[in-house]
Formats: sequence, C-alpha cells, structure tokens
Amino acid sequence: MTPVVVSAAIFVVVLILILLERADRTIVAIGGAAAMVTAGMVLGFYDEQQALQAIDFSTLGLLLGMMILVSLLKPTGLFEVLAVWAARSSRGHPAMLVVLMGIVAAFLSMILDNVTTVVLLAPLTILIAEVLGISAIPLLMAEAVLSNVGGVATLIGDPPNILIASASGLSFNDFLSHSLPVVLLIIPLVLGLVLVAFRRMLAKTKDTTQALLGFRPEEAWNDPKTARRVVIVLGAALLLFLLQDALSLTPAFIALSMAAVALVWTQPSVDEFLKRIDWQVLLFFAALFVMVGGLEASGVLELLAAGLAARLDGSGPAAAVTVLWLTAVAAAMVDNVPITAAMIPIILGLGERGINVAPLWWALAFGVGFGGNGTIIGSTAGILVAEISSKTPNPITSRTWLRLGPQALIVACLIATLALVVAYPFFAR
Amino acid sequence: MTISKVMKTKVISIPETATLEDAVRSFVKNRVGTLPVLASGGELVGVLDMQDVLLLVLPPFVRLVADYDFVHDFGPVEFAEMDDAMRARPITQVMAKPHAVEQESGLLRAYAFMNQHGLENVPVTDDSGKLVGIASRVDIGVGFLRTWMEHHGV
Repeated sequence: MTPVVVSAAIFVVVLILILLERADRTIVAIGGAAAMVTAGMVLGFYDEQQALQAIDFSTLGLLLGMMILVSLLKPTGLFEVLAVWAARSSRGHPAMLVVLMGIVAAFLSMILDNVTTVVLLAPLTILIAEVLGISAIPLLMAEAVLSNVGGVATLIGDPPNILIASASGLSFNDFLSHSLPVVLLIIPLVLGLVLVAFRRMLAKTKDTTQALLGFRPEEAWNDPKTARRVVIVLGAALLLFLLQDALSLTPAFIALSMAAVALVWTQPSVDEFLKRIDWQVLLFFAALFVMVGGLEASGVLELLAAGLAARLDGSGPAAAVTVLWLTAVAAAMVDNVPITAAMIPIILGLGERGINVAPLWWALAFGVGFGGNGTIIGSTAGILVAEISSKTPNPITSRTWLRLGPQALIVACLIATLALVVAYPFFAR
Repeated sequence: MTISKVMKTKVISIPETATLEDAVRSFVKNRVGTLPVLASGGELVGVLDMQDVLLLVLPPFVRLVADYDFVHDFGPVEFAEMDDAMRARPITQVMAKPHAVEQESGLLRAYAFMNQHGLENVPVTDDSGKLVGIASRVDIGVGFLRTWMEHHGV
C-alpha cells in the first residue's frame, strides 16, 4: 500500500503547488518527476526505464512540430494584420469588435495552441482598444474564453486533445466530426454571454472613423514572403491531418515533417526561432508523463479506475455526463493538462473492464476544455490574459472573470451534455 | 584615462524627498535624461531615468506591443495625462538602483558597466558614495577618441 500512498501524495502535492502558483509549473513538475522516480526506485514500484517509456513522444512531437510552425509565423506580422483587419471591419463598434476578435480567437486557437493565440492577440487588442477609446476588458475576456472553447474543436487545438488523441487513437477527422459541431454551437452562445455581461462597457461613445483610418494593415507586415510560405505549409499540414486515416500517418509525423518543410523553405535564423519555441511546455509535459507513469506503476490509477467502474455502473450517457462535469469542475480549479494526463490511464482501465469508453473520451475532451473557463486560474489562456491586462489601468480581476467565466463553463457543458445525450450512439461509436 | 577626466562635474540631481512632478519639471527645465537621486548628505541613493517616467505616462500598450508603427493616428492616447496621484508619487518609488562607477574607474570599465546595466548616463561617486559627476555614452566615447587622437597626433 505504501507505493500507492507515496506516489499519490507526490502527485497531489504537485497539483497543489501548481494551483497555488507559488512556483513555475514546469519547475514543480520536474521536481515532482524526480521525486516520483526516486520514490519508485526506493520502494521498488517504478524505475528509470519505465519512466522513459511513460513519456509519450508522439504528443511531444506533435506539440513541437506545431510550435515550430507558429514560431515561424509570429514575427511575420500576420497576427497584427488580422487584428487590424478585425478593428477596421468593426467600423469602431465595440460590440462588433468583440464578435470579430472573439471569432478570430476561436478559429485561430483551433489551429494554434490557446495560449499562443491569446499571447499574440491580447497586447494588440489593448493597443486597438486604447486607440479607439473603448474598454479592452470585454475584448480580452471574449478572446480568453473563446480561445479555450475553440481549442476543443480540433485534435491540434489544445494540448489535452493531443493527449486524448494519442491515447485513444482518435483521428483529426474524428475531432472534426464530433467536437467541431459542438464547439460551433457554443461559440455564438458565448459571444452572446460576453455582449450581455459587458453591455455597459460596449456602448459606442465617440467617433472613431479617424482613428480607424490611422490603422494601416499593409504596414503591419514585417515579412509577408515568409508568412505566405508558412501559411501554405500550414495548409498542407491541415490537408495531411484530414487525410491522416487514409495515408495512415501519425499527427506527430505530419507536424514534424511539415515543420521541417517550413524550416527548409524559409531558412530562419536558428537562434531566433529556437528562442520562440515554448520549451517549458515540452518539459512540463515530459515531467508530467513521468509522474503519471509512476501513478500507473504504483497502482493508484488502477484503484481509481476500479472505483469509478463500480460507480459508473456500465456505460451509457450517464457515465459520459458524469465524466464531463467532474472533469470540468476539476479543470476549473487545476491546470487541465495534469487532469487529462491522469484521467487517460483511468479511462483506459475502464476500457479493459469491457466498458465502451468512446463517449468517455469525448466527455473528457469537452470537460477539461470547457472547464478551464470556470475560474480566472482555470486555464493558462485565462491566467495569461489577466496577467497582460494587469499592466493596464483596468486589469481583469477575479470579479471581472466571474461575470463571464462560470456562465461560459455552464453553457458550454450544457451544450456538450445535450450533444452526448441526444447523439449518444454517434459519440459511442 | 579615468572616468573623472571625461565626466561632467556640474550635475543636475534631485533630492530623495522629491515627487514625480518635481522630477518632471527638472527633466523639462534642464533637458537631461537622467537624474541622480541624492540623500541630504549628497550620497547617491538612486537614479531616475526619463524612460521610466515616460513608461508611467505613456499608454500601456507601449510596454506590451513590440511593433505598432502601423498605427498612424493614436487619437486620444496621443496626449498622455498624469493624474494627481501619479504627480504626488515620491520618486523613491520609481527610481532605479544607484548603479554608479567610482571616480578612479578607467573608461573601459565605465563602458562595460554601462553596457551591463543598460545605462545611457553613468553617475560617478567618490569613496564615501557621494556623487561627484556623471558621464554619458558620448562623454566616454569622446574620451576614447581623444586618447586615440593624441596618440596618433591626428
């Protein structure tokens, strides 16, 4: 019993430290991984070899490949052009700008990581809002919440989906057919919530025609040639993702090979592009895999799976809905990546007990994806937007977040519940 | 050549009891970019840089966005306002650490020190930490070039 208690304690301490934000999550996770392997070797439940095998290199490969493509796109000015386009298309109507920036954030984060999306968009949004003389808060809130929602739609949209796909074998097309329709239903509803929650901040106060004419999208380009090339490669990557099943290619291979094509084609300065890759994310994932491997080896996850199997009483929509809401509440409080990483072996364990886990994968993807919106610390995208806005005179506070976040969680999870119940046979295939 | 040979000895400084408004007046009146902050005994306790004051007054996106020259008309944010609370802020809250070189320092040492700490002007102090002068990048550059001229008889 000692291995179970010790490994569970290490994981829980790591989760608490991440929750308290006292230290960087990557450092905490690396410390936790080292503690897990050490404990495993001392107590004899886990060793170095098992730890290495626990690292899911296809997840890391897919993340790295997409990061390389984005890192090449960042300095080209494409995102500035998109933001300026949204500003001009809104004709200075704050509500229209919320809708446009929200849609840009949702769709960008279907292809890019949510965090990347908001880190790119939030500073530009603050710039645009100030020049137009409107409040940045509704815009930033819409971007944070909708990037979390949008990320759920695709396999590559959010790290939990990458983890789930890697473990379950669900393909890019599976996400497009199961997840994207649900997300497309939720996007307009969440936009509606933003417009209602912040209606007082969205009144058009002054004439912004002059300010809008001052935005020159053509001057926002730094390197249109590289942008064009990377967008073409990104398009090719998306096409290959669509054909993934027919060509029997893995997402990691597609992302890494397309990253290689983009690197060869654009020949960036290696120093520069290496700096723009989020190495800390890759390290965090690797450390997390090592920890979850320890939980698995010690039998913690097996115990949880057995307990859950007894309670879920077979499969059916009720089990999926339970997983959805449980993981949503958990993801609202803690980083959704460790939750997903811990849930995956549990769901695999349920599968070994003969339960149809297909709907549970979708419930997990929806739960951890939409759950992050529940609190200001629930998602990395939310944390970063709040952090960026804290450098302005009107920061997003927990109270600001409460006007939209929990409502967005509830609406999104209700739609997901509806989908899982009404279309249960479809999700259960 | 030591830094004391090239520094300016007539230094515009500001007492540590001053407010941000006092500092702004001094920047404008004396057209300087750096104000050494002095204790009542003349010891250097901090340095107030115009850039740091500007960052307090300029719109926040200046700190957040690297590239925004595609905006041609900044509209209302073109005219930055300093509110009363900001004006009354003690400069001790805004000033940076008193990075300074000793008056015996050589020019290359001062040059290295400025690069290390990203300074445009470097205060110069005596053994007791009292301010005795200030040197800009130009002062140090001129010092180097003058040595070179004298050596080569240019």
